[in-house]
Amino acid sequence: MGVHVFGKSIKHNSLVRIGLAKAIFGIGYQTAERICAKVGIYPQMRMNQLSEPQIMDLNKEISDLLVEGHLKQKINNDIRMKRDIGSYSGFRHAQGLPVRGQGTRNNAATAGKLNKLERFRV
Amino acid sequence: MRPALTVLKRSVWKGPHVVPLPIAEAIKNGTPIRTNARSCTILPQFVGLKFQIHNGKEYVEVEVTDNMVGSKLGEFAATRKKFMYKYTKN
Amino acid sequence: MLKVSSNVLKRTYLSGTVRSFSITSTVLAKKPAASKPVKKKVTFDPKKFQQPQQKVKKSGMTHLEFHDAVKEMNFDKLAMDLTPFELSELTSAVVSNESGGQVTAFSSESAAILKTLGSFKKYQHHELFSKPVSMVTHNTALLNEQFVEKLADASSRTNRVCLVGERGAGKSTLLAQAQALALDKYEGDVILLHIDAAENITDGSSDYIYNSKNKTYHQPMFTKRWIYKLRNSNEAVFKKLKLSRDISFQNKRVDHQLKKDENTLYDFLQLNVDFGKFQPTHAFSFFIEELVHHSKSVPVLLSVDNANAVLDFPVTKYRHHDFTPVHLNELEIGDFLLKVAGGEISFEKGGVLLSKTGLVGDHQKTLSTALGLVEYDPYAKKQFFDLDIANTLLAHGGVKPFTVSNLTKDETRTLLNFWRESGVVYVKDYVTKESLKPETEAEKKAPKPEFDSEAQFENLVNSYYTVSTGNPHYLLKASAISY
Repeated sequence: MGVHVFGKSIKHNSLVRIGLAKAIFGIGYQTAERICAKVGIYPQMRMNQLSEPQIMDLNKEISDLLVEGHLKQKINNDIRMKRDIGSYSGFRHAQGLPVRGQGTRNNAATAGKLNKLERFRV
Repeated sequence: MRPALTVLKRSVWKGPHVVPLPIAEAIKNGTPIRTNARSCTILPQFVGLKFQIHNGKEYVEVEVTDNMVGSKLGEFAATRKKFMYKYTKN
Repeated sequence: MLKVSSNVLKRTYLSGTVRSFSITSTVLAKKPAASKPVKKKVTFDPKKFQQPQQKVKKSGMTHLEFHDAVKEMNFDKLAMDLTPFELSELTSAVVSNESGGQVTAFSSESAAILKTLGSFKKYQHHELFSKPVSMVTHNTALLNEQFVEKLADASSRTNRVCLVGERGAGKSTLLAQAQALALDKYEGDVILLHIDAAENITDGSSDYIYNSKNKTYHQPMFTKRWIYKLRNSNEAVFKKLKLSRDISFQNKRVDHQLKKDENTLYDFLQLNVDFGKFQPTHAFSFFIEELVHHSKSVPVLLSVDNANAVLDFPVTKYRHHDFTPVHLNELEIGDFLLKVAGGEISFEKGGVLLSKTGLVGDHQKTLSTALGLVEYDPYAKKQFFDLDIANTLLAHGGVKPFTVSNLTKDETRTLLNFWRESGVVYVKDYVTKESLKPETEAEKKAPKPEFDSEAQFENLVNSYYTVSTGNPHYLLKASAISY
């Protein structure tokens, strides 16, 4: 059972603010609470209690934000831009090494996984 | 909602960290500015100028473009060589 | 059908058992004549084809935690029947003659009302007894004298009390007793407005809709539930009270028009179940105005349990559209509470009985400052002290604190004695190091002293009283509760 908000199926018994934050890339707990306050959803409301107009309002609010594919595209572009201007952090992204001055003697596995020129596949 | 991270980096009242550089001369003559001040913030006025930035050993020639504004000069002169694995003779 | 089958049986039986006299191979090879196959009549027998009935799952499983589950699992039905005890009912007469404590039962009418209102709370261990009981103590007598007796004489503005005391001292129990006493004293002609857990107002569990007219937020879900409780528990009183003015409203697309002096308050609450869900209404304020109007004749007792959970934490979990938090006085119910507790709304006959909870807000200063228990600290931080609320409570003569003190030793003995008789506490001889030693010959022969139950009981009273210092919660914990 899922409730569809912004094209995402969110579990029906999750709190709205938590469900939004978990399902939609680019929305965290803080943003989700703000959206809920704006739409007039009370803090303990659950996904299955949402009415049609409320879902429409949520969709409208979310579509005004930079989320999901657009956000991923932007992040990719920013990394690409850094590489293009020849910045140090751009080089580090290209090499898959830590960007912010961490050591690389040990433990740079996460950087190896994440730091790429194309961070997200859109 | 939240201030951008660049704003959080440094107090606003301090302004960007800038070192006195012979910009006027560079604009007039088009000569590259040779500098050791790697921590100098790139201002919009620097765009189009050539800099020779010290990387600890020599001066790296960099031409400033639009996107570089806000970064530091040192970011564009790498201080370390890229690691390359060399086959030993044996 | 039966007959046929028995014949067949008989035949097969014979052919199988009668010995042939010759044992030649031909004879052996010859098969006995096959009996004619009897065609069985196939009929539909619904009993055979009935699906096995699905068993209703009645295991002792629950998703609740144990201390929550004890209330839900109806353990009170397993408890000892209290009828032979002939407990006296909780009445003013019993309370005024109180000395050394007396365990009383709630009368069946008041028990039903209090149960509807939610005055019997979880964690009060009502599951230990087959019906709710409480002990009349010196606190009950004092509160009866100071508060309940005055309900019909004084306005609620001058009759405001807040129960304070340490955790488990019996504040909520005292609240229930006060309600029962009020019911008894005025013979049911009293309106009980009770909020059993005030934190439900502010914890964000109800929907909230802005009413631009009175600049407050409706809380339709909370209000509806609360009104439902009030309507059911005060049914008899509300049916007597005629409306003081006409009102028309819409409910479920049906227009209702209630006439002044004809329809009752009960009709209004019965028909109007919308408290702002679909559109801003003044239903709740109308209800309150009616109560204020009728408080001339019928005393109104507003009791709020866990009052410090809202008064000490006035910043609610709700948010305005611009994400600034909603203050308690911006909620319709919260505003009502503050106004009644501050004396701005006054019932001509009646009283306000607040009660703290010992579980939250130890470091909060608002309520204790307003009650005069703590000195006003002008440098107190905003999150610990709300000056506006403290001033509201101090207005019109202020709210009087009522300290619920622990049981005396006599009361402890009475209570433990009741628990012993009702099978909650066992009095038995405890194994000591001395008794584990191997007996000598002389000791074996000597007559053994009999176990003196009374002396042991007195020992227990002494030790439990010392451990709990007379606090009923810790007394029960020390003597009976093993979790």
